[in-house]
Amino acid sequence: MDQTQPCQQYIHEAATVSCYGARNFKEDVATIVELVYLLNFSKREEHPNFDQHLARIDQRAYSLVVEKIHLATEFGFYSPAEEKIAADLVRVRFTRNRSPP
Amino acid sequence: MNKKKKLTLVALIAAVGLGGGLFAKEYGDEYLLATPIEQAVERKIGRQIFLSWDDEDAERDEKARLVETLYDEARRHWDYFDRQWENVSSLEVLDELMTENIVMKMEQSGLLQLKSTLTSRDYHFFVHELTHAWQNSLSWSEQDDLKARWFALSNNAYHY
Repeated sequence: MDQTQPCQQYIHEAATVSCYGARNFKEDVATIVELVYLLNFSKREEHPNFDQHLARIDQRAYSLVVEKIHLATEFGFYSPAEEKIAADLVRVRFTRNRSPP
Repeated sequence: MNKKKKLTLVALIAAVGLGGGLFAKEYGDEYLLATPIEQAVERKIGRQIFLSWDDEDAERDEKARLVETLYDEARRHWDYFDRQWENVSSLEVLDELMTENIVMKMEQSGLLQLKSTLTSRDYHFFVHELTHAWQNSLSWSEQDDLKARWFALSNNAYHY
């Protein structure tokens, strides 16, 4: 399997979910925490083309993803270290790839 | 034979059939069909793996190895894996047609279901399904709290 494919699908889905609530609550939770896992994976493995995929997330979705990552961590799914890596990657990469207004 | 005895006999046969079916699913897979490789993986992960009764030994070995890979990869890359794994009682690898778009599905019983077409690169799906196990394992008050706060962030915009 192309290593970029799951990430690409996921990011697109995360943006959709967080902005528009296209899926149900349980699947939204599971999808967001899956994102954290992929983010950490990308950090370790230098995931190819990850930035351009993350750039698909708009401002509202980006903020919600970060807040939801924090909530999942607060309820014990991820460690604080994992949350920090994921949130930092979302912030940094989003800012770096954001299109000028 | 009077009507009451007939009903009793039918009920008895149904009970034996149902019990036999449950017994066969629970123990038949393990004691009649499990391969040495499958059993070794089960010992390693500490959970029973249910596979299709139609699978040949080579297929059972392949699916067992896939479960082992997903387990190893998720454990390697996730700080709280062991804590979440406690919420899983057993695994079942399903044929593709049974699951449509859902790759894996977690049920209240702790049964973690995996799609047979997963590859060794798909371990993030493993984490996705373990999320359901984690969510179900929270206390009722924690579940309500999480749901309320998550809904608030999402502006209650879910479509069911």
